[in-house]
Amino acid sequence: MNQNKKVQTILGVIGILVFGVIMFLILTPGKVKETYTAKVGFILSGSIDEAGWNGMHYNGVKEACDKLNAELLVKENVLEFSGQCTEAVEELVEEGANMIILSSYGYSEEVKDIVKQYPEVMFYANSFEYKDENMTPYFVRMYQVRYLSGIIAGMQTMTNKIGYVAAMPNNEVNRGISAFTLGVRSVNPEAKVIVAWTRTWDNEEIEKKAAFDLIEKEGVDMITYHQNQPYAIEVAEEKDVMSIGYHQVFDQFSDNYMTSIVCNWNIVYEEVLQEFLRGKGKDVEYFWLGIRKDAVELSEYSSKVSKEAIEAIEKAKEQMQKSAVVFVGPIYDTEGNLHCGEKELISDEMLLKHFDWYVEGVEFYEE
Amino acid sequence: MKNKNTVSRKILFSGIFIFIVILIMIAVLLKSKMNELFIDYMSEQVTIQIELLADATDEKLNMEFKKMEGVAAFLNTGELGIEKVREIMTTLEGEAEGASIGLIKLNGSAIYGKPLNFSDFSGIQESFRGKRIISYNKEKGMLFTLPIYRGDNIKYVLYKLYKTDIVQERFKIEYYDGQAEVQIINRNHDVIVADGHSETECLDFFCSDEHFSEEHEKLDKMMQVSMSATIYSKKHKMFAFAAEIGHTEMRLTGTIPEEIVAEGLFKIVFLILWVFGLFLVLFIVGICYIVVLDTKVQEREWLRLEKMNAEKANKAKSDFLANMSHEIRTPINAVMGMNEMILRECKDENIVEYSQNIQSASSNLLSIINDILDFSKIEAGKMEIVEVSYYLSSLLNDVVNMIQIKANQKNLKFEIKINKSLPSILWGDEVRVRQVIINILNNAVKYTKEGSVFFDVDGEIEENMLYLKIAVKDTGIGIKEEDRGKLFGHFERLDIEKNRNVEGTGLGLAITYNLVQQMNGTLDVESEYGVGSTFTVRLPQKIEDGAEIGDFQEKYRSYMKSKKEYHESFQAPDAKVLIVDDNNMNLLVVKNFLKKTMVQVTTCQSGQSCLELMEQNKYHIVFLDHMMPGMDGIETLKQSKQMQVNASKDAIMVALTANAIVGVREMYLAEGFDDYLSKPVRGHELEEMMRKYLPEELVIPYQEDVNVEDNNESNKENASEIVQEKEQNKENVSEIVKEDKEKTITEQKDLLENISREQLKEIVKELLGEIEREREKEIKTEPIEQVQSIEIMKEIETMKPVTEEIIDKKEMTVEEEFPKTTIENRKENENEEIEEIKEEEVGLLEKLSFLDTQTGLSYCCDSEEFYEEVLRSYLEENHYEEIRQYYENEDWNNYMIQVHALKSTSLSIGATELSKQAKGLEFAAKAEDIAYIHQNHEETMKHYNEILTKLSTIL
Repeated sequence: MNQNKKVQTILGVIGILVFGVIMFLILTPGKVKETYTAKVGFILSGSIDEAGWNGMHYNGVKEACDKLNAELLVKENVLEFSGQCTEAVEELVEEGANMIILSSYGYSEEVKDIVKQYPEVMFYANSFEYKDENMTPYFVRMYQVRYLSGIIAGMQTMTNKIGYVAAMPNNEVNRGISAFTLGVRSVNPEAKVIVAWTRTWDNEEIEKKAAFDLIEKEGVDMITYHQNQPYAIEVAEEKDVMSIGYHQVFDQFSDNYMTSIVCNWNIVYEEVLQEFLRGKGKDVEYFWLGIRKDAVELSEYSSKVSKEAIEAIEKAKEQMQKSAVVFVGPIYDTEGNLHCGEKELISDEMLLKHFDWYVEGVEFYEE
Repeated sequence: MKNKNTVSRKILFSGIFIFIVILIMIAVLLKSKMNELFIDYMSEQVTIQIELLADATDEKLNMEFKKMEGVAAFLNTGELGIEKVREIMTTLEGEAEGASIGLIKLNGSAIYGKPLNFSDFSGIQESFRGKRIISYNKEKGMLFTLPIYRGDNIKYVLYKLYKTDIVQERFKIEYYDGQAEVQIINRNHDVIVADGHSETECLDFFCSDEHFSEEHEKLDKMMQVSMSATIYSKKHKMFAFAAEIGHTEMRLTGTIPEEIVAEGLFKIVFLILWVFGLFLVLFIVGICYIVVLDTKVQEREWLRLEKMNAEKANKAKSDFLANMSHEIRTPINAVMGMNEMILRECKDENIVEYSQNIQSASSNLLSIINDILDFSKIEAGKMEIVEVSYYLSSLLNDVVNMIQIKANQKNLKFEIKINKSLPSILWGDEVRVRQVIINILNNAVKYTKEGSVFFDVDGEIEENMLYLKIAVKDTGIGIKEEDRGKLFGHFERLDIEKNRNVEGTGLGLAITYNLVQQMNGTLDVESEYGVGSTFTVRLPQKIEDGAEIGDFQEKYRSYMKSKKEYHESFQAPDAKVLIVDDNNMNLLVVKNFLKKTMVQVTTCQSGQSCLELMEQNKYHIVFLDHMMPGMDGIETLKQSKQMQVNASKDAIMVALTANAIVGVREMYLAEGFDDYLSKPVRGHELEEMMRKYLPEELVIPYQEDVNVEDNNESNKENASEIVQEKEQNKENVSEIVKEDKEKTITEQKDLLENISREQLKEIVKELLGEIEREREKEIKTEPIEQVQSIEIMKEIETMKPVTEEIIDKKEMTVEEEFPKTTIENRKENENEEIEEIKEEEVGLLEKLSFLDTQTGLSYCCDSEEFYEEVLRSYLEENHYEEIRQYYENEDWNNYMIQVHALKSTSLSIGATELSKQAKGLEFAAKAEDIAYIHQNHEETMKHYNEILTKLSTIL
């Protein structure tokens, strides 16, 4: 009897063990196929609540991340060339980011030496200045809308003098000035674009002074800018001068505020993120989305914008959709050199990296 | 038990059932789990392969640019004449298998080939921006475009266009040898390269633009965030997959049936399940085996219990038999011992005859008990054959002696024919051989009313073996043919109606048959109903001494002559014997038996004193009782063997016990005794034992010749011997005979020597008259003795015709006459003695009124002298303190032994009440019924004390 019980106990234990092992094997989840989820590090020079450039970018990246189920890590108020950017990168890598978006123009130059230290991390820089195996530039074909806003400016100006407050000369700013000028002159070959350099991205005093000078001293009746904040428009409003906004839509301004250049960063970031997730991050040379993908557009026009202007814009837009409009030859620079022959097209390569010139019709305000 | 079994079995079976169900569930889960794992694995495999395929496709597509790039490089170099360009383009076109080549300007017009519409192919615009790209239009086909630079700017775009049908053929993809369906689609889900199998499920669920199946949507979603994806469709049992093709905006997508991917894999699943199933079967078999085993174990357990019960019952039976045997043997011991004494010492013919009757009856009783014991031994399979060397003549002597008496009683002629040439000493179980022969002869005598019993002993010698043939033929009732089978059955008695008057247990023949078989012999029966039967036993016996036994009849006749009276078989005045028994009476009996052998007898009553005596004195034989208080016989024996100083080291140790049950002999021999003697001790057995073990030089055998030569002389001698003895031994019953009386007897005896038949008559008459006169005198003087005197008178009266009859017998020989006269003489003497005793008895017996003197005296041959002695020894033995001690120490084992002794000794002195009480206590102690002991101890002890104090005042 005793032995019998012993046998039963042993059997029971074995049974339970076998059962346990089998259940363990069955209930252990199979190797879940790892879908490459992105942990997006996002560095911006201002605050995420800021109405201008930084806020727009943040909202765009946020939207894209939400859409594609990516985790977003944000580093705010990282000043350019302050050394904070590399620190931010280090922190983000530590936090596990496998993709870092550098949303300010100067960042790529700052991090160009350290990206190689993080081969596992993909960098996306909002600048075509520096490029690396794991650092891909992205931007919008802002020039397309600059061109279109130029059409409005060319049509609306009375003085044929249009003011342009610009931060500093670089490929991007130069390209914008040139495209704008090309747009102005496509409808008003007499008009001139006067550029006032501020040498800063965000300085109210300087920018306002520049705008003020352009209006007061140069006598421009239309003003646009390439800065983070719309200080120039404020001055234009004060002086009752027409203006065109930049990557922000404003409600507070009068009819003199014609329209604004709008970038749909969410579309850009979505594309960037998607390509990254598809594993093509390294294959794509650069992301440069334009009007065809609705990455850029003009906001609602002011009632002052003439029908002719709108028609001209629509026509140009249509052309842009299927072929090319802006940098199609013949194009001459300020020196009178032919930069692009008849029926030729300036390649993206040249537009992005070698835009150290200005098209004919660009003048500079000098104090 | 059975119910419990079935319940536990039910539980077991339901347990097993549940377990098996669980196992099957596990198997099912395991299968699905395995499937899941395999599908995961297969998905991975599919993904890997589709990625490879996508790479290959990408490569293939890129190859298309190769030649175009060569041309482009050439065209980039500078302003070429339009003729030159055309020439180059023509060569390119010639090599482009089925594709159309062209070079277009920004406005869409062509320098070479067909102009293209910008809106048809997104690639044209992209190429004008500087990209090398493939674009697709559903209607127009696949377009490969390259920018042609003029300096830094793009001037033309070089294209290569494959029409849809050509694309289909050129970029056809085979996957899994065409068993899978693969197609290339662009991001608008336009099918660029369709699969060959157009009418398959694939198109239903996957490729149709309108209908996005669940799987398709899922796959599409996955493709948004990864380069490749595979999903498994349970519904269709296929894998749907997709993979991006390198730099293009195209992707590979398709389906593949599960079984194609799985191929060998499901064999593994099958194998695993098979193995699992095998284990399951093994497990079930194991469980079944355990169940069977369990059942067997339970059965075995049950059998064991049954066996234990049976053994218990058997043991109870054995115990009962042992007890009974002990209980019966103890009184028989006294009966036979005392009777033997009478036979030895009493010369009164009548009394000797009575005594002989007692002897035969008691030995009958003993044989019945022995029969039952033998039967129980046979039943228990413990009957053992103990071989010794023995004298055949002695054995036959015993047998014939015994049967002769019986035959004579029934007036049967007992004829003996014994082959003279039989060997004298044989080796075999003497006791059993004797038993067999006696049984057969007894039977013959029992069942023969008239006629004769013929006893024929013959044998055949074969080398060292004697095939002893014993035939017993009778003229009895015979055995019916139909009863033959029952002959050797237990308790079977045939023809009961007819044989009602024949006594017996019905065991005799059964035992005989068994014994014969055990001795490798045969027992044959020939019988004719109403005429007679012949029993023939054949027993193989080893020959120890081949010397012929000679004429047995002659020897027997002479033996019979000598046997008329008891005489000791030998004398050994130098032999020393120690007898150890806690029971004084037993000592007395043994001592008396040995009186005539002149052996120096020492007695003691405990193991301890035995050891002390052995240490100092050299004894030849030690008779050791088993059941003794304190140290028992076995322990005493063991200690004696360990003793350093032991004068009696070489003494023969003989166990003495009333235990005569199965295996006792073997037990004693195993414990180290040399031999074993069961109570009741018989004189001749004791003497035989002594003769066997005493050193030969000490033994002076009895001189038989004298007796045979001159009977008169021997008779005279005998008579005088008895007288002498009476003088010598004051313990003797007839010690009180006075000198003058002795003289008269001697005188009378002298007279007898010479008187004739006539004279004898006169003498008898005279004697009777004298007795009558004496009686009258006594009546006058002692009225109190009247009753007893009258009794004596009556006795004499009854004797009268007997004596007269004897006298009247004319054929009476001198040899026959003499013992009778001696007996008569003795009787006379006794009469006188009795008178004497009565006088004293009045005083003593009166004083002993608190005892059952009748019983007491009956144990002491009605000898007051002996009785007194017994009483004295009873008083001396006084176990009062010991019993008290054991009781207080709660040593129930020793207590039991003591009260056992008290029981028998008390009975022997006639303290029947005390005996009963002691018996009660003994049984209680045996049964460990302590409560009973506590309840009755004090009373018994009080009673005991009373008797002791009274006895001490009287004696």
